[in-house]
Amino acid sequence: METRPYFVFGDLLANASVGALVGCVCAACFGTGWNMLLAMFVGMALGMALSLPFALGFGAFFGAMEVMLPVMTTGMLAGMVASMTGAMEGLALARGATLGLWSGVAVVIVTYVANALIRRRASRWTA
Amino acid sequence: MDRVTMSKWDRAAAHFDLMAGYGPEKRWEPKKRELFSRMGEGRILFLAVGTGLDVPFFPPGRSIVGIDISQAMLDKAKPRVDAYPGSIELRQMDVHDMPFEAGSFDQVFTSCTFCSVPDPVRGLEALRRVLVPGGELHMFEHTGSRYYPFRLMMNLMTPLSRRLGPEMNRTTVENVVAAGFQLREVEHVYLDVVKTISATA
Repeated sequence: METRPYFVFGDLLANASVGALVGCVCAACFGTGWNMLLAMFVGMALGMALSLPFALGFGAFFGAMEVMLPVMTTGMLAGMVASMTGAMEGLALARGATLGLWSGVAVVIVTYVANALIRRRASRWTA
Repeated sequence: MDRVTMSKWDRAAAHFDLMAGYGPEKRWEPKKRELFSRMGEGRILFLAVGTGLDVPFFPPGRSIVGIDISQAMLDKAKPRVDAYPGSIELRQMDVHDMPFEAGSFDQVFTSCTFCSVPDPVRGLEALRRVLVPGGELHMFEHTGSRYYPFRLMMNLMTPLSRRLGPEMNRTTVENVVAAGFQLREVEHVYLDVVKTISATA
């Protein structure tokens, strides 16, 4: 598990800020007129597309795959949550950003746990 | 020489260090140093030396031949190579068509290379040919993932990333075996995506 403060901070910064941005954009795009299922799929795709350039930008400072994969997952999750919420009950921009931010924090926690589990299970396969 | 691949990496050389020179190298430095500490006293081939970002992690005093398909990358690597306290000979070369005689090297090292080699199994077979029998292959590579959603993302990104540089969904461990190497060790560095692979010819 990553324990160096610079990279832990970078992971949280990248995912929280991209999540907030995607949540905000999806809150603006998806209102109660949308079919919820359609909004979910479009929101996920939009979130992933929006997060890609930020994944590359943050990656230059904080790591390659370690930034790109969580940030794109955050984009997908924040897009899904914000677009579905917007389609169900409408969503103010600030609340969309908050939902996206917490989606990003959740993704960081889940990927850290997944990384620890995968590495513990499969680390140092030796013939 | 694969001209398409060569010109792709010639174009990438100008901004390569901007994208890969700080964050990724800092993050991977401990694992790369650990892997490269296995460099022995014999003849070493380093495949795809790029702009030489890995050179500061090499243990001192080794005798290394570093190859890359892109002359623009090698030109960028030169200051780092000149600062290395040992011997590094740089040569522009395509891994698929290496002119070295069979059994020319005791060890081969790669670093984020087989995400980009156009025909990875043939490239790995070429590495096996230039290694002495029982010679060592040590790789630091990123590969595809078995796990959702990472697998989906990497499959979606590969058509785009392939145009600019690497592919995201390679099956490098399986390719090493398919090329005839004996797999010795695989260590996952990040998820099941970034890993070190060690094998013998």
